[in-house]
Amino acid sequence: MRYLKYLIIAVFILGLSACSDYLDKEPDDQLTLEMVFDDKTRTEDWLAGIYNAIPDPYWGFARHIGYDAFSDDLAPSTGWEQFGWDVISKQTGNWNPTSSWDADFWADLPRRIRSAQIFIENVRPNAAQRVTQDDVDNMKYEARFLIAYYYWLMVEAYGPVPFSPEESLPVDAPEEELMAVRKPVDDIIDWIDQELLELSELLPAAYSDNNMYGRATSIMSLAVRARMMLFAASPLLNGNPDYEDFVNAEGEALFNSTYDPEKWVRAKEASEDLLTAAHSAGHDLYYEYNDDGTIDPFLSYQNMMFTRANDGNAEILFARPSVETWEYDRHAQPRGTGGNGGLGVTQSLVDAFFMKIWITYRSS
Amino acid sequence: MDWLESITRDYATNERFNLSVSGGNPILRYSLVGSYYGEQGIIDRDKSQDWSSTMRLQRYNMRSNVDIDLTETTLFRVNVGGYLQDDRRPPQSIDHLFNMAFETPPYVHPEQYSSGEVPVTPERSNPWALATQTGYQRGSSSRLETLFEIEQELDFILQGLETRFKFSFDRYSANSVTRSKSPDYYMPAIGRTDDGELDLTIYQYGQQFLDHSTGSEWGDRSVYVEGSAMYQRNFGLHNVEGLFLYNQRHYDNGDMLPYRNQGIAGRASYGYANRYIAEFNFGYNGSENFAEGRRFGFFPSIAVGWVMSEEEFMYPLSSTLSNLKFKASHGLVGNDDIGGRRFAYITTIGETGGYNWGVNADYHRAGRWEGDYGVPNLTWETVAKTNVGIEIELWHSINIQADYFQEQRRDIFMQRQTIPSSTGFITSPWANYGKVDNQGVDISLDGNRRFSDDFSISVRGTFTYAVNEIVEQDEPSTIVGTHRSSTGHPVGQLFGLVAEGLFTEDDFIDVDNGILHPDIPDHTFGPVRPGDIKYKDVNEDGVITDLDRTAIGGTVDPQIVYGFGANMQYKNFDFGFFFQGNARTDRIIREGSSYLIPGAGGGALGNFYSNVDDRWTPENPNQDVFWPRLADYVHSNNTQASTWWLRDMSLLRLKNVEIGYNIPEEILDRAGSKSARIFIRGENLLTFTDFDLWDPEVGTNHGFRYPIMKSYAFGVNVTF
Repeated sequence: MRYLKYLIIAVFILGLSACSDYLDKEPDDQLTLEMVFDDKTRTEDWLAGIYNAIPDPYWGFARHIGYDAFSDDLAPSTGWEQFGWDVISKQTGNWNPTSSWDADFWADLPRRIRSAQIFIENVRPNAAQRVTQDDVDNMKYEARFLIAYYYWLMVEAYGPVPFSPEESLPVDAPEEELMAVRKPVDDIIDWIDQELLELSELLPAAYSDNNMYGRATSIMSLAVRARMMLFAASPLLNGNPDYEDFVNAEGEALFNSTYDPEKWVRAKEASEDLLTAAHSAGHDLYYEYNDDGTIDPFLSYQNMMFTRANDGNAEILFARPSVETWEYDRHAQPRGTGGNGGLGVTQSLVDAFFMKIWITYRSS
Repeated sequence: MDWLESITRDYATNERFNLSVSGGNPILRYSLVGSYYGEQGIIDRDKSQDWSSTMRLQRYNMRSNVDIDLTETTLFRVNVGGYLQDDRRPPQSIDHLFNMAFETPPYVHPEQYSSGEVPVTPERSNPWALATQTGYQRGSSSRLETLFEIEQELDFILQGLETRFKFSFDRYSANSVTRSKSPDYYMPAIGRTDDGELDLTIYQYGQQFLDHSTGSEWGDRSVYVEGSAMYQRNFGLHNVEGLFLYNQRHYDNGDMLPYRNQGIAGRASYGYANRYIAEFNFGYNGSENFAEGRRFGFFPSIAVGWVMSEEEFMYPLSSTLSNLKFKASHGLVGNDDIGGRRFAYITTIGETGGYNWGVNADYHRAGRWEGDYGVPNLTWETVAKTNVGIEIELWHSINIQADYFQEQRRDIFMQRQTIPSSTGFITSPWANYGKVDNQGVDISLDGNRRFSDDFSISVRGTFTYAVNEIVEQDEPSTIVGTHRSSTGHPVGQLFGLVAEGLFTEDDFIDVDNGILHPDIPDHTFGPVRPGDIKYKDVNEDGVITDLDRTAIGGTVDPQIVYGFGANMQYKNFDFGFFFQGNARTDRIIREGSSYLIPGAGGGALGNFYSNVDDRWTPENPNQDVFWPRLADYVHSNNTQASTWWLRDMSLLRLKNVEIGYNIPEEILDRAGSKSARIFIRGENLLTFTDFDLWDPEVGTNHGFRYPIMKSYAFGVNVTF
């Protein structure tokens, strides 16, 4: 009997020790950062996730971002509000400071920026899959371009924003880093200006590999920079008295309220930099010609929008290779031609074009 | 068109059969239970179709329990149970059908034209057609539950020692087949043609036959193992008990990895003369959700009791006060459930939109980015529970138990609320953060009294009152201490604007353009006119915005839950009933559905309920109405969560009532039966509530849910 007792206790202890690693299992088929950056496809997936927030100028500007409607270019049918077109309530004045904005750059772009920072911190050569150090360097420049570009998109939308372009924050970062204050517009613009200028010397002007079309180039950097410097010189940002008392939590003025004519000089130089570089890289205006050899201005303008680069359109400086045109078409086309006929063009957009007789409709 | 009427039937039937057999001899005992349950739902069908989409459920249950005494000290138990189930339903979710029936206005079109065409408003739905014209889904599932248990008395080693080993294996599997079609939909008729026919144009071409798609088979299985040793012995007046238990559970539902838990638990208790009792318990549990080193939590508790009625000085009272016990306990309980997030210490990779490169935009890469940020130092959430109670038994027939409890929940799992989106975290990181206190009382009473051989009554009642309070949580410093802070309120406190009534013409200097008097705060949710809801400027900044939201009403979860009932027996008749109720429960109705407001969806959504006349109109500018001024669009000013839509959802319900008759033995003897009883039972027959737009018990802010059924049953129990 006595040994039976020990046997039972022994079995019990054996049973317990056999189970001590019962919980020591971790998912082995779950992607980790390590696995992503050891794999060319997954690495490019990550890069694509950063590129994803480049605005779609067709459907994006019409619907989610709504810049077409926020500006005075078009008015979507008010009947679409019930389908979630929240830009309509903003056109009709039915909104307030807590209304949402579909594109929500304030939350979305910092995510892409953080994602780009993590990319830069982790991307590495991969001999097995023929990813060289040069490829890696170029992808890092692309990620840096996207960080600069997204900060510019935020400045364009919000003016001053929280600004930490250097590295990704850990979750236990000190509160003052997590709760970063907005930085003055001029400081952010100066940083983007420098960053894009530097990248324009690091990135190629174009890629010989057809699959690389749409990846960041030096021309894209200079184009974004030229556009930004023009905005920075404009009265909205250059000495705007409306923002005189607009300060951040540390009391720093967020807009420079003194007019600085030098900003126009910088804007001009930025545009010159772009034009010089673009022409030498083979970019040029797109033309269509009449039978007699003269320029057809209407078709030149229209087909500039419709012609792809590999069909001879050298005017495209910053390509977003894939855009949603089907939805745009469907909503813009008149009823009876397969569309909903709900995108109304405003008079101010009509007035932006000359009629055949070289005057605008309104002045006729 | 009453769409609810159109998709539902007035009643549905269900049927239930049970058969149980038990018996055995001194070394083997068995029981066998078989049952059948069949139910039909109230969603209607179209009888002209040769298939049916009515909800139907059939379940066959079987359970067998066998106990075998292997030796004089060894008991072996095998329980096997399970069911087979078949069901049928419309391919749409039932909530969706109710949603559509609740939201579609009555005037858009009939369910079907007399000539047979099915109309629909473009981009909307015809609730009747969805319910009856789109086919059906058939499902089949089965569950098997097994338990093997060995109990071994070890008195030969140590008097009073016993061990138990349990193993159980459960399995569930299900599959489904969807046979669906869409009918030809026509635009609503715009008139009649010259020859008197409806002028109909087709909107969408459907199909004549039922499609077929097989759902993938799914299921889960779990394996549970438990081993325990128990010790119980009396030494004179001293009673000593001990328990040591190990368990582990493995649950596999086809997720990335099976879910696993393991733990040990123990108990030691000492009692003296049934008068004084002291007990110590502990649990030591491990969870896969935490990193090594933080994986196990230790949760001890102690309890003491004093049975005062067993004291000698109480013996004179023992016929009246037959039991009087005081008890108190304090202990810790852990929780490792982190809202579906597993392996919280590992950073996951998430998916986002991809991007296309290439001159033909054909070099596609799926987008990836950071998923949930892994937090290595997450650990168990704990609740410290303190309980004091009293048990009283009077005249050996009335039992009263009263407990006061207090719980302090600490290190609550939550996603950080104060990390701003500008940091770029994809999902807000998890943390052990937050404190909630909960306290309340729990009272139960039951009494049994046999007045004579022919007449007895038993009554029972329960009452629970609990209030909790958020002591600390992750709130932005700009909110803490203001009217918007939920710290200091119960978990789930409702927030909204304070409605001061409806605007009158006097509030405007220009009614036509909606310009308010300068001393009335600007309402920023959209243009307002007389008849719209007027809100209070809680933060006194001169405008009404979301910043004026404050705590209104209570919580959705009731703070009081109670029930009471009685059973009576008189000769061969018996009668019983049970009421259930809850109180201190509020809801902001309409939240989650803008189209609950009549006509709000541009004419194609927004149903009209029977109380639609109870509304503000220029002719009837009444403040005391259910609906404010109605609009044919989503009128953001009136759809804000506010006290206007706050409703008390308290409810008292006659949960069941039953009358039975036992057939006298002299009749049964002739049929060879030991006993037989026939009964009529009703469930949910009476409901008392102030809220009458839908049944509060469906638990939604808008009623779009399969309703609670009243049911009547007639049955027979026969024992042979």
